[in-house]
Amino acid sequence: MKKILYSLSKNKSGMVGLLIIVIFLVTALFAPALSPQEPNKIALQNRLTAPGQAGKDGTVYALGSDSLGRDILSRVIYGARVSLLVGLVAAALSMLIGCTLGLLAGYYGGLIDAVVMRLTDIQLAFPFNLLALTVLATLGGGLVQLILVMGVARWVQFSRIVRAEVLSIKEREYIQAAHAIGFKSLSILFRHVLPNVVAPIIVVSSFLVATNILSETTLSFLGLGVEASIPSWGSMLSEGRDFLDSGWWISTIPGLSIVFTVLGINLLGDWLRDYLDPKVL
Amino acid sequence: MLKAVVTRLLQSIIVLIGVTFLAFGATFLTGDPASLMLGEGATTEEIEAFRVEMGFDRPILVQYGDFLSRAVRGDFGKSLYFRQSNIELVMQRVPATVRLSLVALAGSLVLAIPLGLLAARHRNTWKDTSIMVGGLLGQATPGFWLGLMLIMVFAVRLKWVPVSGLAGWKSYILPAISLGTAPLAQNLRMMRSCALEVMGEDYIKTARAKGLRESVVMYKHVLKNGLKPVITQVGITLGQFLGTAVVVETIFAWPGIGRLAVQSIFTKDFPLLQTVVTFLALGFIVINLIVDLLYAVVDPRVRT
Repeated sequence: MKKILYSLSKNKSGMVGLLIIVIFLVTALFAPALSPQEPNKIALQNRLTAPGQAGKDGTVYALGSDSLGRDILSRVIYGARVSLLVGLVAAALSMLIGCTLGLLAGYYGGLIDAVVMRLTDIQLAFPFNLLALTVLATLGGGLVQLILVMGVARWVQFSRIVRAEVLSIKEREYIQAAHAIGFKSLSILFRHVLPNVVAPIIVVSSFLVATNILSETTLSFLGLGVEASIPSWGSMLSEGRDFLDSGWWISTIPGLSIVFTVLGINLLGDWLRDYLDPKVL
Repeated sequence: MLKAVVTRLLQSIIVLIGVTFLAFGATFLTGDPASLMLGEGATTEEIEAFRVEMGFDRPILVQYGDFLSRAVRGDFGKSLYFRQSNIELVMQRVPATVRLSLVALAGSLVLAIPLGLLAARHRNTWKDTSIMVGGLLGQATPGFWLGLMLIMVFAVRLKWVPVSGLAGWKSYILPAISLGTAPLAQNLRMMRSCALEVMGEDYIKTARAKGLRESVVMYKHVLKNGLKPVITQVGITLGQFLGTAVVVETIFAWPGIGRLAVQSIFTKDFPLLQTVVTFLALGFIVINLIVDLLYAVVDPRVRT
């Protein structure tokens, strides 16, 4: 642990990334304490108040208000929760599916392997946005559906890593030996494969969290993401689209939050990749 | 070589069947496409009649088989919303998407290659740092948000370019920037790291020792050898465009296939959606096939 922290403290961009992620996490976790207003509180008399200005009733809006007079700052703070949730849960789901399929494909080979590999090809041949749009348009949007679609659609990288590792150690003597003295091969493999794939999986997951946050904003922007009652960065962007002239801050501020957060995750991910140096990637 | 090509082709066909089945199956996820298409006002008899008319009363595999056999003959049916042949609609929209993608791709490569080389040549100086910071920011910026910001500044305020639609070369500027920024950032970083790798090789040291000018070394030797991964990246970039085009085209009201996809989704025009998805997947597969073959031509080692 000390070694990790030492290496990180030597890496300037990694530190910046960590700092951004800490800010993001604190914002998401302590949203109720940090936000000056209730994020969904409508105050029509204060609509389209510019950042730093006071509305008609004297309330000051640090980052302005939207077309319904809701406080942008509070909504951005609460939006961090959606991004965090979607990013992490969907990535964890992808990891679970990908690792399981990779293990099965590598271990059993044959038909299962062929099916998993073709599923991989199909996924890679299908633009994610379109798949997500199609499914969400038929199932209806929403936070849960969004997480499910992302989780189910993005396991390819995990399955590839795990499968390659299984294939490379399956025939080694110690696996054969363990098998010969009666251990169940799948459990042996799991125990021996896991330590070798931890590093690449951590790296892939970190970038996947960033990708998922970007996808949430895209899909919410198109109106197929998170429910309107939950403030999210993507839906805020979309609401601001009609006020590019009279309320530039409505779209600008959530957009900057996205850039900032994704930048932080990517910076830390880059450092992780250099530090863990997974050979498989 | 021939065997590898045939295998790849067969794989592509399997993938295409899988994708079309996915697109086809998505229509049935909700249970009943007929009541979805007709909306809430329709009576049970109307829905029933429509279902029989469209053939929705048959088993899904039979319907899919029917769809495939007609698709192979080029018959994709009619759009429910536009009341026009699906294939015509798609073909009308393809050129706008292809042109926009090519402009964005060309722009991103033209900038990424020299900037990446420049960063590598001046490693760890302020030039390198600022180029890399720009690259990192570009990777973190959602293209459609960038598009909105560009519209706000250059179309709404400054009125230099049209807000949306396709009218003359000026209309290409903002959508191409929105689409091209992410691949620019990606290619830039890749070009830099590949160049740095090549610069450590002995033949570069030899070239320098011969007394060649630094610019000759960079642009002739380093570029030539460091470009290969970037070429592969071109295929991936074009593939990504098919996905990002969906939202960028929507923002700019661009008459392309991405916007058609979104339109078909929001009008619940499932026959059209199936056609669009099939063609997008086909485009994606063809691009990847070409890239793989090109790569085999460039690098004889992969011809096995």
